[in-house]
Amino acid sequence: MRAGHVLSGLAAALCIIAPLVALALMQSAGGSAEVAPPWFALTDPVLRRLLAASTAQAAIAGAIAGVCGLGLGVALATVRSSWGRAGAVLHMLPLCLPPYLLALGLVHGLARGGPVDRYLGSSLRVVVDGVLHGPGGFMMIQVLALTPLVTLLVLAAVRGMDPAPVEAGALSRGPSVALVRIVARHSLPAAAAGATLVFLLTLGEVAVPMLLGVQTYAGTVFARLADLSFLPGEALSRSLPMVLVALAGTATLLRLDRGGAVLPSARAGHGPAPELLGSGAIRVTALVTAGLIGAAPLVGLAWMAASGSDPLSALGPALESVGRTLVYMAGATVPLVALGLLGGHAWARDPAKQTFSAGAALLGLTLPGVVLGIGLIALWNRPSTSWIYGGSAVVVLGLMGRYLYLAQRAFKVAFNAVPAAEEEAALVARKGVPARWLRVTAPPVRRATLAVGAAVALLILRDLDTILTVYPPGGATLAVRILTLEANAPPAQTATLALLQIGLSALLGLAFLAAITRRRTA
Amino acid sequence: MTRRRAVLIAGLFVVTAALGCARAPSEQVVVYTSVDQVFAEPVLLAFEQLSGINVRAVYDTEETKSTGVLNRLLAESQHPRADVFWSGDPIRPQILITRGLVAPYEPASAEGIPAAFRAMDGTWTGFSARARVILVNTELVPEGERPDSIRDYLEPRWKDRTAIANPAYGTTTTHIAALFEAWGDEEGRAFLTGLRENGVRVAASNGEVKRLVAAGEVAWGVVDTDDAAVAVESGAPVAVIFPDDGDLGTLVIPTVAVRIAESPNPGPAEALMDYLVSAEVERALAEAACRQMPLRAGVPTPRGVRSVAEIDAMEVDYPTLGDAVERLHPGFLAWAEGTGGP
Repeated sequence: MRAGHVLSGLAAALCIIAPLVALALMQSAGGSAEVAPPWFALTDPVLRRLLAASTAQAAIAGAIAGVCGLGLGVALATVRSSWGRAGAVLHMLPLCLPPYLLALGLVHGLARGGPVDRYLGSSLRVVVDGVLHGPGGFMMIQVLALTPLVTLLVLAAVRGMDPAPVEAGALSRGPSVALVRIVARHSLPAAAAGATLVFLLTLGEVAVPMLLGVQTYAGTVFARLADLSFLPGEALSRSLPMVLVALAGTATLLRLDRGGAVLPSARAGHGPAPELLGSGAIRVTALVTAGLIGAAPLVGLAWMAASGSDPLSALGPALESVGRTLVYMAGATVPLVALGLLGGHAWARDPAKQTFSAGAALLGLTLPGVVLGIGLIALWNRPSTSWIYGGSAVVVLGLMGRYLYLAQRAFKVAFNAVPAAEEEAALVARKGVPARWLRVTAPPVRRATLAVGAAVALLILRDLDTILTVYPPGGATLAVRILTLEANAPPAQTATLALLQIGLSALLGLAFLAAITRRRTA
Repeated sequence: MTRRRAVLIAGLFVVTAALGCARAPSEQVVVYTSVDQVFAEPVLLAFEQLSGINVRAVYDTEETKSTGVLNRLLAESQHPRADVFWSGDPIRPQILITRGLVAPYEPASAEGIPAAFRAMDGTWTGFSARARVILVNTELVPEGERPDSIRDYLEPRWKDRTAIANPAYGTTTTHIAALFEAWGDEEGRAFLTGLRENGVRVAASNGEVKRLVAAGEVAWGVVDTDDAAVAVESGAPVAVIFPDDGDLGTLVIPTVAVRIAESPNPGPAEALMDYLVSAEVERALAEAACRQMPLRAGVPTPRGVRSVAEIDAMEVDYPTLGDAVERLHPGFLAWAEGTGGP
């Protein structure tokens, strides 16, 4: 456990704290303008209002995604209908794209002459377009993009639960009561964890609000490092109130998660049998509706792709970027899963010692990616570390800094569901560390390991914020290529690449789904 | 899942990552460019084929979603990674020059480029220009009623019907700073206040302004000629107007190439500089969808776009304008965030 805490702390120090320190030193070494103190944002009325508004938007998006994800996850885990499953797959698709591209798809879908205008009427188009270009639209995009994460966590929680009480409840008090009072209540911690995630990712989102013309606090942090501004110290200083909000939000929301089983473990059951929970017409309808909503921005993209003259010509030059995407994904997923396993285990078994590593890791997740990115440049761009900064390693470090918290947090919850008794017995029996890990500690969370690996890989595939700042010259990923091509490239080509991105991520997403929904035979 | 399968999957991931990290050494040049990738990439590929030098590029984004390659250059200044900065405008290179991050180099192929568009000390060389033009939706605005001046943004008849890109970013920064230089700070500030009061929609980028005009969301907006050319090419109901003819004139924005000081590949950098400022590239960019305007005489003028010599160009000293941008930019940022102004 101690080694787990040390490794977790070292990883956080290396990937998050050291770059931020280097960034702060870069500002002072450059003799740049005076940096406003972190509390400036809390004393300046305009910034204070902006921080409050951004926090509220993130909290609302998190709450809506939490509620929707709870319902949809429970529904998906307890229906047999193929319509319901098809709806669920469509509902998951927005998770495969950076939210910015979803927003772009909707913007094009709502343009004059677009599918909404043509088939649903211009008055509806004007109303929806007006909502889209405002705080409501920003929250809508975030909910659309991130609710599937909550759904998956809830699905995993339901699949991991002991079916006996549900089946007993269904037989004695009816399916509805069993669903609400037993299944949904059991899944609340998972939904809360998912809502927290949505809250954090929304708080730090920059690209979507900028596209939609919505001012956010993260946007003002980003603006200190955008285009002609180069004020790294100011950006870091302005980031700190965001981190305080993130810590407070996380603490509040995760009070619901009192060690609940968010991810499946071998010890847990395989979820309630659908046949005892009724036909599920309402659940199927909910899933199909969610699927249709999830497919809406993709329809916009497909519309864009189909409306061009030669959309497929974009595919050839993009193949290299697909290869690089997979390289970064593989390079970052392996250490993230390993560190998640070790750190998450330490967090679960000895939570009192997680303060530094968890706090630092949360910092990495919450800060706008550009802040961490410039810090990585400040830290690693030296002659002696060219082998890191000059290649893929710096991207891997950036991605680790960004997603370390998620990996460890997910494993912490998985280990919380596994009693520590056997590990303690192995310790008493003086088994070596490798033997304990291979035979006792790791096996109960092997499916969780696959699920965390797939989830982290999926997030890396769609990452823009982190990679954009530090990718090596000529080393853009597919998501970055789409973004840099978006300016003035034929929209059909951009849309085709976005659909390729979806296809790539969907393959991984399906593997994730298969991993956590497959019924155990043992 | 069996342990063997898990080990196999993890092993595959590691091998993929290791293969990705391995790179074959070859002569190469690293270029950072803020020119739209869709236009810059074919030029760089052509250079690669012509010279045999491997080009590794970092591209910028249209909106403000990235740090911008300029900031990456500044962040890397202690140990430069880029050899050449191909800028979409002449202002960002001035910031690098001011900070001593540029090595003078006069490409032999720059013959014929007018003196106003290059530095005598070789620190920067302009070529292939864009201009700031008004893009009008022809379905919403009949021919006789179209705007012809940047000042039309403040006309009451256009209230809530126009768009402009965020002045804190991109060529709009350059444009507004040029207006401040031409009019003076007081009139410049009044103009920015007027934009707010007249309900001008502040878009994330010129590309977004183009989309809003082409879709008829607004009647008109100011964009760069490459955005306008793409809109015209797409068949959207738009017309292009070069503003302030006979008055202020139209702002011309040359693309600029600079060689980064202490760059890792000086020889290939000079070869790329020679290629970029050549007449061949000016012609290629004129014929590309961006329809950029060659600065040299004798290079064919793109269809539908006037040459630099044909338009009433705003008189600008680009290094001075660079200083003005540095002075005014924090105020533009505050204006965009609603916390102040220049």
